[in-house]
Parts: sequence; C-alpha cells; structure tokens
Amino acid sequence: MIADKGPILEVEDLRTQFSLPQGTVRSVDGASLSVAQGETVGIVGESGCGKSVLLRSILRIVPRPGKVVDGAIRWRRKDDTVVDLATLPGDGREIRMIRGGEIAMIFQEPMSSLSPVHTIGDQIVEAIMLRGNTTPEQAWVRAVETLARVAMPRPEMIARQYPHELSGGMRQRAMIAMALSCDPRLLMADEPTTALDVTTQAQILALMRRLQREAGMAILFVTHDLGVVAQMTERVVVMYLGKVVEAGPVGDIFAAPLHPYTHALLHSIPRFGLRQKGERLAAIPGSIPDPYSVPRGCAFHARCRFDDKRRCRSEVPALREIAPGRMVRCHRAEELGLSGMSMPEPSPALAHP
Amino acid sequence: MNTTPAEPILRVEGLCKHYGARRSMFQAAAAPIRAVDGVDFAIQPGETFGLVGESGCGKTTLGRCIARALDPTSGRILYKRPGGADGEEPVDLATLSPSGMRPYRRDLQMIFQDPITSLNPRMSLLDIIGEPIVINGIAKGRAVRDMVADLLEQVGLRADHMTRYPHAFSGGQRQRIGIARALGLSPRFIVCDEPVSALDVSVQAQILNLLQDLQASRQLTYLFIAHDLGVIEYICDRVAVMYVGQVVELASNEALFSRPLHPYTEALMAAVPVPDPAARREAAVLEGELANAANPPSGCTFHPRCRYRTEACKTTRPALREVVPGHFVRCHRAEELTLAGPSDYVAREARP
Repeated sequence: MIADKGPILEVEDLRTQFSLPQGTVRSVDGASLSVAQGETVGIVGESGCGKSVLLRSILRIVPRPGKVVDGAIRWRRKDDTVVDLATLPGDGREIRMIRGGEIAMIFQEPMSSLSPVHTIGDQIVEAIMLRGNTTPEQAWVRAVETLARVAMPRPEMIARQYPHELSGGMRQRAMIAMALSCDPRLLMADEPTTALDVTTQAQILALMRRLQREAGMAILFVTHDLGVVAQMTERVVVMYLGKVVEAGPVGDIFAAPLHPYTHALLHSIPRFGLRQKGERLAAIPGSIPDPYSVPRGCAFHARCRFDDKRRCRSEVPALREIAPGRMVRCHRAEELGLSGMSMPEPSPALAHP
Repeated sequence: MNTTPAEPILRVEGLCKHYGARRSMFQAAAAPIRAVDGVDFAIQPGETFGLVGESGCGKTTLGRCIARALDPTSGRILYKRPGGADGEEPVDLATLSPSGMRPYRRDLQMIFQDPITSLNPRMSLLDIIGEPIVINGIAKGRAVRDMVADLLEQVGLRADHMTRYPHAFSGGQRQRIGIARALGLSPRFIVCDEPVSALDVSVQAQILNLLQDLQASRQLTYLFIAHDLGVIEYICDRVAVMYVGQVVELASNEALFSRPLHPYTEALMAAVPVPDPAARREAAVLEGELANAANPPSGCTFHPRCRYRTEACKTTRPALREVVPGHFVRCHRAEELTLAGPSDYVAREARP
C-alpha cells in the first residue's frame, strides 16, 4: 500500500442548486471536506440535509435541474495529477473514466439501481468492458471472481440470475461487486444498509470493512444512523440544510460534540440502558425547515436550545477550526461545553413543540 | 400464558395466518405461506407490548390480524374491555363478523408506518380525523370540529391546521395526524405498526415521547411493532421476538435485554451497531437469511443459522417453554447456554 496519506479528494465550498419554479433550493450550500487515501469518512445528517446531493455532485450525476454552481472538487488521479471535477464537462470522456473507474458509488435501494432486464453477470461485464481492453470472456471470468470476492454464495449461478431473483442483501452484494469490478480508489456509499435488516446490515458492513482492508480504498459513507457511523468511520462530517456544521475524528465527536445539532442528534437516539436509568429521550423540537425558506442567521437557531436570540438569528456562522482537526459552524462553540454519548445528559428533557 | 395475576386485555391463542393454500381451477395447491404460525401471548392493560423481528417474520401480519384488518386463518383473539363488568366473558374477535366487529373497532385502533400513504391526500385534516368520529356517531356538526381541534392540540399540532391537507406537513407531523385519527374514538388498545421507522431520528424521539405521554394520560395499551431494538428497548414493557411466524422468545424488557435466552435474540442484539466508537467491534455476524415461510426448515426453524445447533435441533421442533418465571423461550438448549445481551458488550468494551 502507498505510504502517502494525503487527501485524494478535497471538496471546497461546493454549492449545488436546484432552480425550480417555486424558488432556488440550495441543496449543498458551501460544503467542504477531504478524504485521505484508505480512510473512511462518514457524512451524517437527516433527510434533506444535502448529503446525497453532495455525493452526486462529486460524480457530476446531479439530476436536472440541479447544477454545481460554485466550488472545487479536487480529485487526485492515479498518476498524482489533480483534476477539478467541478469544472469538467459533465458528460465528457475524462469524468466518465473517473466515474466507476476511480470513484465508484453504491446506492440505498439496489433494486432501482440495477437493470431489471439484464443478468447480474452481464451488468458487471458491461462495467468492466467500459474501461478495460478485455474480451467478453475475460470480463465474464472477472465478474464471477468479483462476485466471489463479495462472499456471494454460488457466484457462477448468481451471475446468470436477474436482480428480482435475489434478496435485498444479495442485491446489495451484487451492487458492491459491480462497484469494485474496476478497483476504484474511492467508494462512495449512499445509505447502503438503510433498506436492510440489522442482521443483513451487519453482514454488509463486515464485508465493506474486509474489502477496504484488502483493497486499501477510501470510503465516503453517507448515513443517518449514528450507530453505523460509530462502528465504520474514522472521521465524521455532520450536515444540516446543505452546510457542514461540524467535522472531526469520530471518537472526539461522540465524546464531546461541538455543535448543538450534533449534540442533539446524539441524545435523540434510543440506546441500550436509557430506560433502566429512567431517562427520557431528548427530542429535537420542531422539524427540518422548508428548503425554500431557510431561517436567517444560523439555520439551526429555531430548534437550538442555545439560541442567544441575537447573533444566532442575524449572522450566519462560519465553519471554523477551533482545535486541530475539529471544525464547527457555531458562534458559541467554545463556551457551550456539550456532553457526549458516554456522559449522562444533565439537563432536563425538552418538551414537545 | 398469563404472567401476572391481572386479567389481560388481550389474549392471543394459537393464532395462524396462512396465505395461498387455496387451490384454484388452474393451479395445484401450493404449500401455504405460514406468515403467522401459532402465536400465543397475553397483553396486560396499560402495558406496551413489543413485537420485534426481521422483515418477513410475520410481525405486521400478526398486528393486522389482531386489529382485524386481516382475517386470521385460525386461532383465537380474546379481548376483554377494561373496566367491564366482573363476570364479563372475553370476546373472541377472530370469529366476529364485520358487523359484530363494529362495536370493538372503536376500542382497537391502528397507527401505520408510512404517514404518507396512510393519509388520503384529498382530505383535509378535519375530514381525516373527523370521519371516524362521525361514522361511529360520537359527534355531529359543530361538535366534530371541536373534537378535532382538541385532538390536534393533544398531539402537538395547532387547531387551525384542520383546514389543511396532508401534503402541507412534514413526516413527523403526518405521523401526529395518524395518531390523532386513532385517538378520535377513545380507543383502549392501539396497534402501532412501525410508527417511527420512516422518521428522522430527531423527530422519532418526539413521536416516541408523545406516545408515552398519551399512554399515561389515556390509559392506553400498545402493541408496538418495530424492527429497531433500540426503540423497542426504550418504549416496551414486555417484548416478543418473532422468527418465521412464531414467537421464539417472550420476556420483560429488563430480562430480555440483560440476559436473552434464545440464540436468535442474541444474534439480533449483536447485529445492532452500537453508537459508541469506543465500543467498536467485529460483531459475530449471523450468516444466511430469514427462512422461507412456505417451506420452513425441519426441527427448530432457526437451526440453519444457529451457532449452537445440535442434532436434536435439526429434527425436533422446540416448544415455547417458560424457563424462568415470565420468560418464555423456544429453544432446546435454553437452560445450558449462556448468551450475551447488549449490557455485556457495551460494559465490557467501553472505555475505562
């Protein structure tokens, strides 16, 4: 493996917008993050926070009318040259070679990302043939090998089957096999286990960990499940309404979150032992604001317990590095001293809105 | 199977729901899918009884049979209205005709998983919540409006929302609308079918807390169906774990989560990712997939995936036995195995 742990992907101040008759939705509104070689980075946030659009922006597959309007996506290629994916033509040859060949993506619902009228094997062969000068026979052999690599039972037989003949977990394995068939250096996974049962999820997560060890690829993992983040990632990026509100090493974020939103998320998940202690879940009041009318000032202030009613409501906080590797977008980050997961929650439970 | 001396509000005996057994003119009889295959339990008034398992285990079918949204194939569903006369015999809901069922519909309501598809997009909140009130003759005209306004406020919405339509609300608010609709008939018993699965975590906590508050203020009994063990552990008093149409373990919350007795329960709990990076572990992954309910394995239906299986497990089907008072398990080896619960690995691997 290469010793260099420098970033292979650097996203800087990325903005992706959807211009609709009702107004402009700023799905990704100045997001920055970096991924080092072989690292697993998690992006966490609730629905509508822009985490999926961010991944699609990196690959330039944002559905119309969405457009990357500003920012840089610096991708280090195999030969160490750096290209800005944000400025490449969205259907040009270069981005198509990177897509799948260097950066692969797997999606939440494998049924809607696989072709229902082609066999699993043929779909993997197509991906291999697109970027290698291999014969169809060699590509088929490689497709079956890849299926075996993702621990698919009876790979020869599965290769000849159609997606509808497989269970959800098997389909997700097939998706991963397709993504791995071209040895990508970055795998982007958009909620890959959300549609699966916990036992199947555990199988897929174990598989992803093993493949990462074997292939040394980086993983950018989007999820809303904080348990999955804790178990899978090294660094975490928390998003709220298109903006990164906090980023840092996973242990630090769970032990001592800096942003009130991260803090509230951590304390709103039911976890073992809460009931025995007679504690109540600390819900976040209100709901995620409408994307057409994002609140002024800090976008989270209306749901925040620490809203100062002045600066939080008038001035958009900047993303600042307040300790090495720890970024936060909150005016009051230094003074709050928020508690993490392992600490008991001292404040009284919040009332319903 | 009564565990406490109090009289249960609902007792399920040998309940079965089989699909596709009927033979048509053109088709030979196929093996029926045994979605629910002989379930027994009793639910006490005022408790939250959890039903947990993987998708396809039959938990939703069971919930729908109890609410009589589906007709069970066989078995009894004995319902006893709380506060009824002393000598009153429980009614078997499973055999009631649609009209015979009507008086009990008011008592038994249901909350659904998907708050988008379970609300009619062409009806205003007044119509959605008011319709069951009118149909059941509880109120008319002006009084319906007042009741709907009151219900909306009880679930944390505003009375002036009643003229709006479901699309104007977020997922969490829609789930509140579904709860208000269920409450309109002053039910005693609510089947909650994955009520928070489709919601974001921040909103999920609001709905769970709301359900708890309503239970306390209205003396409700819940059958709470979920696949998320964290949610189950937070809200349920007793829990039944289902696997391929059968209950494999049934115990109080505390007993189940501190010392599970069935290998499947242990495996389910071990598969849940712990939200603590310090307790990171390579979970013992449960191999394989849920068995086919049309052709379940011989012996114990879990044996092909079980790491503790013996020869007897492959041939003899275990019965649901009371191993410790109030703790039922369907496993031959329940007494000899020492299985781990979440408290074990969280405590063992947490930071010093």
